[in-house]
Amino acid sequence: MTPEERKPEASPERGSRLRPLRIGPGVIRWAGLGVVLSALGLLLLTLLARSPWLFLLYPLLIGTLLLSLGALALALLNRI
Amino acid sequence: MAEMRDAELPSGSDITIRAGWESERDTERSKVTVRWFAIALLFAAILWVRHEDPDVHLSNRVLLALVGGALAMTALEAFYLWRPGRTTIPPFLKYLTVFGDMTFITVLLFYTGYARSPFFFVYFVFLISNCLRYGLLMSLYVAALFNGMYVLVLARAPAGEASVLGGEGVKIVAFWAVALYGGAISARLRRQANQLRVYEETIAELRARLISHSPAETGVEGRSESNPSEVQAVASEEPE
Repeated sequence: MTPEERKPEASPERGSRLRPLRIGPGVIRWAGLGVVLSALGLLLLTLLARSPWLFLLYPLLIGTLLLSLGALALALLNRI
Repeated sequence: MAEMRDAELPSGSDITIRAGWESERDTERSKVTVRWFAIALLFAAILWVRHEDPDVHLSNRVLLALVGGALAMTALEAFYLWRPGRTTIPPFLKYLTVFGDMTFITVLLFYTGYARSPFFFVYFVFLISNCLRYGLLMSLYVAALFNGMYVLVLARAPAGEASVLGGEGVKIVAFWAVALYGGAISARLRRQANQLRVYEETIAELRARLISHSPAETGVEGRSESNPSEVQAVASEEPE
């Protein structure tokens, strides 16, 4: 078995079962909004937070930023 | 390749590369070995800092409890990992040991100056070490743990304990940035290593097939399956 055969994405049967990705304009809008809001939140939190407990919001904001960026990148690439 | 010389060549299709690819048990073992040295190094550093910095108030009792706890945890893990017949370990063990290590670093920070502790850099060393060993998921786990534990340290710090960098938020964001960037690079390296492993397994499998078929096809007598140099000779005889 060659390395190409072992890779799951190289299998045509497996690829044919995948549905084509459908990304509408709503995804881009929401992902863009997520990127802007989470980036703004990160900036404000970093510059203005006075209580250390507020720093617990970092994982939430960073997670939202990464997911939104990923969705936005996928959506834009899919449109090109 | 050196790994290929050590590769097992079974007669069937079950190909196992024995050398060059570390199992999770071996990774944990090497971490335990490093931890013995790290404890000794940190113990010496704490003694020196306590002697030099009058602001550090670390009693002997706390210091012994900290070092004793770290040694006990390491000894327990070493006992578990080096038991005869221990070939695999549960997947959650690495997360458990990382949690323990992070707890010790946090307690160390708590007793050596909170946000101004000279041992803050240990978090970064620990992050890079685990990120390179285990990849993106582990580096995100370490960053999340750091976020939570460092907030606890800051919450217990006396008022007015400001960071020299100007804001604790910058330090936490910097840690997340290093975790994400290091994790992404580590994920790419691990992917490449995995591709290489697949190629090595393929080569080993082809060599095994070559050995099992070569005497009848090439007519060379006295060829043994256990001699790699003869296998290479056969490979060179095959037309491309």
